[in-house]
Amino acid sequence: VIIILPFATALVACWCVWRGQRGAALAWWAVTAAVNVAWLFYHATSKLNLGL
Amino acid sequence: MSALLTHRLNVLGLVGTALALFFAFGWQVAYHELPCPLCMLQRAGFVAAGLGFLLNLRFGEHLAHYAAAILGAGIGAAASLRQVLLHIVPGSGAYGSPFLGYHFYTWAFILQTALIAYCALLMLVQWRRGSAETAPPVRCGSAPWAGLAFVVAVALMLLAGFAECGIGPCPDDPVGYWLLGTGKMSD
Repeated sequence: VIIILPFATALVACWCVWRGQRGAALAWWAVTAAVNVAWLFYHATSKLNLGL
Repeated sequence: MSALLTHRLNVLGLVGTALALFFAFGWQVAYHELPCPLCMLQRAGFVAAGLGFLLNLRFGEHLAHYAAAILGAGIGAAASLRQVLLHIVPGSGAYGSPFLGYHFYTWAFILQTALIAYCALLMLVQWRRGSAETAPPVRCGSAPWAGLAFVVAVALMLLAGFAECGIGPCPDDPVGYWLLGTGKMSD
């Protein structure tokens, strides 16, 4: 997976903040968060050797 | 509690997230300790949390902005906790070298949990002020510099991540930079 994608979408969100586009910035934040969650599932859902 | 105080506390939150990212990058360069995919996700969590503070500074305090910061820190904390659990069993080793007795993923979990509590306190202060949902933006000299530091930190993460992994997957235990031809691309 493209691990740098959340940084790229966050930079787009920063650009929207700078331009004064609040809705777009929040939308790009949501994309960033969604990518983070997707990558988290990809990298962190194998079974742990623990009795939780 | 004045609006200026919470504004300054938002500046502090944004500078704090930027400093965490700068420190992680500085450590990476100084000690040649490359971040693993989970480490990258922890950094991305700091970035998503910092965006909430940035929105507050630019557009005024709003519950949605605090929610963004809390959710971002929560996602990062989940990645940190996962890595802590991977190494919590004695003899299971660790990733990277410790700083002040703790490894970076433990520090990330502590800081991101603290960020969540910090946002909750700021929301409480905003509620006490009588503006439960939104407050107009405050202008001060430090906010643009804090914003610039954060944007530079995010850009640095993007460039460092690209140098290490390109636009493909990162190996679980990276040994070098993809851009310099010293890394391996298998996962």
